[in-house]
Amino acid sequence: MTSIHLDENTIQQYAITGVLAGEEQTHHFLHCNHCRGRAAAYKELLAGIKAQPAPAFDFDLPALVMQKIPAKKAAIPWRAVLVIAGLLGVISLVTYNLRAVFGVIFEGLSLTAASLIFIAVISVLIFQLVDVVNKYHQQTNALD
Amino acid sequence: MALLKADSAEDHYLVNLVLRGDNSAFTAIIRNTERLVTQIVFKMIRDTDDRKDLAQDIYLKAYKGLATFSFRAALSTWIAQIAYNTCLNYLEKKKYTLLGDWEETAGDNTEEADHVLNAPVPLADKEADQGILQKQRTAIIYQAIETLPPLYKTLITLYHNEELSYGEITSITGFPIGTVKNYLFRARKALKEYLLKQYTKEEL
Repeated sequence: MTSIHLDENTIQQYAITGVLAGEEQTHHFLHCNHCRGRAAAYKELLAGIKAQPAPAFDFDLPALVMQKIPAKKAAIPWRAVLVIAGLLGVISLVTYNLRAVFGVIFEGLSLTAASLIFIAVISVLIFQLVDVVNKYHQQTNALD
Repeated sequence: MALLKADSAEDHYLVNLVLRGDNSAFTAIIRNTERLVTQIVFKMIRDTDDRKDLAQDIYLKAYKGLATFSFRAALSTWIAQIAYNTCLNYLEKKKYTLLGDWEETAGDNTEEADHVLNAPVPLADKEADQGILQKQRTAIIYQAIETLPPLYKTLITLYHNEELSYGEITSITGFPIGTVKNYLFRARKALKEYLLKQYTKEEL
């Protein structure tokens, strides 16, 4: 057996994990009362640390925090509704005024196909607008 | 421990609810992370009134910054990071240091140690004596931990009581893993030496 005692870090790691690296260390440890005593002291210490009760506040933390947070109105997003309505109005107006041009562009297309294209374009525009509004709200929250 | 291994899907769900305006979801977030935040605040801050203000401040910061939370870490780790930094700023304002001279404060906390000693422990009658010894040992070690500087106390608690990994502690404190391991080694050694100096092995 090697006569050099295990270093402090090795003893600590053994107390935590119960594992020694290498046969030489294990052999020394098994035959050395001094090192086993040091490891036992650390094990007692670690057991004592683990047994510490978790501290607790003597007040209701969630209630204390929530009283400082203003209640958000989960109301209808009127701004978004107004923007969408406005956009639809503008599109309708432009479409009506340019109906002669659209008549030339979509010449030969059936009314159903033209309607489908129109609905698809409008849907994409609405989805993009909603996404922009959501991102705007997230950034506003972050700045707050 | 369960709070620290919380399902990230639950984190996503709660965060999205709060961002949509459901404040009651934030109450759930506070309940899920309260234990970890309390540990950090108690280990870093001595003043009871300041602890209350800081705890409130930590969660208000978390609420305001929730939209920027990117889910790269667990929500509890992110909030613990806010708690650690808030306490660190407080200590800096008060001109305290994380690794102050802990000899000076040794034995200051007999009142809180008595509190630990008097805490009820459910035991069968035949185990009562062993229970008393266990409580005495817990109180002695509590006193020893209280003699450590704020940083060592916090690291010991995060690693040994909350069972956080080195990586999680690194995320919270911003120290490299090697530094965390080194501080933990020194804290355990200091505790052992303090206990050996103050008490005989039989008392342990």
